[in-house]
Amino acid sequence: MAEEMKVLDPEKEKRKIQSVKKMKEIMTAYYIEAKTAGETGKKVAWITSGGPVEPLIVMDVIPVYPENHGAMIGASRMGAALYEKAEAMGYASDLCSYACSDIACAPINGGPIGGLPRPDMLICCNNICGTVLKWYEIQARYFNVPLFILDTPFCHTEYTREMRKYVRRQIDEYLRFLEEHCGKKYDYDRMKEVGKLSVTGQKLWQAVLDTTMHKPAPMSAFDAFFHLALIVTLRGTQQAVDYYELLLAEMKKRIADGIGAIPNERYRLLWDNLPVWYRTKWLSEKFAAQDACLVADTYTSAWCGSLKYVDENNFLETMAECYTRIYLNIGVDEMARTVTAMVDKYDVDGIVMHSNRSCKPYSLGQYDIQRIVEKQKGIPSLMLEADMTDERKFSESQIETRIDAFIEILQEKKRKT
Amino acid sequence: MDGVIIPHCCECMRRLYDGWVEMNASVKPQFAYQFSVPTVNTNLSVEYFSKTLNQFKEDIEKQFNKHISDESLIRSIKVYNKTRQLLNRLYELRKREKPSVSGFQVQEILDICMSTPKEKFNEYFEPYLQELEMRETGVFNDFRYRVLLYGGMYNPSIVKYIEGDGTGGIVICEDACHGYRYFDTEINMEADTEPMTAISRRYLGKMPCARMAGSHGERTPDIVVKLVREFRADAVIYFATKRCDNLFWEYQFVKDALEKENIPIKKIEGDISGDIPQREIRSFIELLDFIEA
Repeated sequence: MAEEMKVLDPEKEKRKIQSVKKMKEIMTAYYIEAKTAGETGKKVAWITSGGPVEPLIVMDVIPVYPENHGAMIGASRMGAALYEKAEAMGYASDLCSYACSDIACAPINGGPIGGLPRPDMLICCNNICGTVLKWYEIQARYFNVPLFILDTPFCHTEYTREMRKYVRRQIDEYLRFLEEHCGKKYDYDRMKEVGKLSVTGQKLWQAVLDTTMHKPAPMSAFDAFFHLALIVTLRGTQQAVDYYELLLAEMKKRIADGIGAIPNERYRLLWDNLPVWYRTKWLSEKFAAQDACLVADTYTSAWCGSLKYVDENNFLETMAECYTRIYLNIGVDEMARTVTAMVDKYDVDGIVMHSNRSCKPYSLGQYDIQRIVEKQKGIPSLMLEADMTDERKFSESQIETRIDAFIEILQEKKRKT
Repeated sequence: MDGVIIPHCCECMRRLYDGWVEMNASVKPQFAYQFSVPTVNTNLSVEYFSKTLNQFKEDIEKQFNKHISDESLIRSIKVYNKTRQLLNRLYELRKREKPSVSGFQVQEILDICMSTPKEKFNEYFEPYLQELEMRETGVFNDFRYRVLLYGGMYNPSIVKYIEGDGTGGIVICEDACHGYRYFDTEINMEADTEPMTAISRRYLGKMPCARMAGSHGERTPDIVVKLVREFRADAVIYFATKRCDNLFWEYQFVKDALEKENIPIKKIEGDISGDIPQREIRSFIELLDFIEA
């Protein structure tokens, strides 16, 4: 009864992104297809979020992302309970909460969707971290399925000829691995189409993110965290391209209609690191209440950040570089350059950094980046200590105090200018 | 200090290099260098790593204005191989029923070895080793348990706690970076005529550290069990260095394999310096008494 009486707030309603409904439909259909793969005869491969998915699409293998699963676990606030189970299984409390919660889900079909579909193979690319190697090895042993490792060297500032050769030759091995486990020849003609779709999807995703250069920004980083799912999961498909065309059109219309992500955008901020999945709504409301909009972030832009290295007409030959030179696989000075460029591009007033207990490659070095960017751009930054999935590592009152103090600094700075 | 060289073997090392690079100019060495180390041991990775090492050599030559010839590399390989042979001989003594060296003494020898030019170390260590080899008495007469240490860089206190104060243990082998993995295999110049390829093959193919993945990394539990048999260990203490995620991930893998073989294992967590839980070590040794009974 109370539901029926509920009166919708027109102000809030007009800010809701309409494409969300379509996104939910696509993701639901995707998970149904993946969960019923055993009945349809399709193969399922678990793959790391930074891994080259395009060859799987070519081979009609359904890619499944345990990291997406981790995000869903976090957003459903199931992270702490599953992490406790992982601890009981012998994994320490300082490890990656995505990995631990996923490992804990496997034997019990736990988590928000009753466990991920059983994999036929695992594809692990260590361009994002070393943890994925151990995580995927554990799961490969548990499910007793083959594991392919794409070993991408760390390229601090330079991508050498030898690195290019090493990764490129491994991609050939990857294709042979797929041929062996799918029982069919690799379709190189289809690869060209999939490569083009992948690049088109990434360009569209970048265009969606770039709409926030407009003031007020039509969407926030919190929206981007949600809409990211397709560029991760269905990269290389027409479906992803169609969806991001739809979303881009909606963002352009919002700009034309003067609709911002928050009612009164006064401060424009940049987010660094993974989201705090179980507190995105709380954080979004907390910042919005202070007229602060997180207009950009280093996390969601990572799925289009290597576009400059890829040639859509020669995808197979250039994907090695594209997948090696991602944001997390470079040195701090280059990361700082990326952040500084984003500060200019999105004209931000300050940076919010999530020091993420789970993610060492992202979090170690943040203080250096903070110092470099503060020095070069003269903008303040805020460091929040938390975890992407494990809600036990989030202290609300402490974080609230820090945000309030940070906003005061921004206010003071604005007042002086 | 003229330079700092940090191979990228894990996330912490990656950012440690960044730390050096970002450091205040008064502290920063003139030569800060990093190179990637593959996580798998395959033909492709051996080839890639040898090229990386060649580049490293060229960069050192440029930086210090000194030519490194193949002959000098081969000479150096021979010296280092000699060190490996000597240390292997030292470890043979630990397989004896009454080892003539303690874990603590071995630790000191390794410390000296790691920080001394190898020509000098070989020269001074060999006569001492011969003396040890002649010695028929054991270093301890009252130990009850032979303990194998597994880990990365371990805390010196751990050996002290196992062997000291009448605890009743003796460390007979370390499957650790600061242990057997440092010298377990020689660089085989007969298999590879090109020195860098031989060096690359040795470093990627030696006893795997927890960072290694693929079929080579999967060998870890079998290697631990083999070492337990060879050194006649009664138990394993797994030293998980704080913030070394790889060691924490590998623990369950190693534990399952040892338990299948009825080999007791105890995980001790701690940093590479500072205190570690002595009580946990003592109670583990007491537990071994209980199992024995």
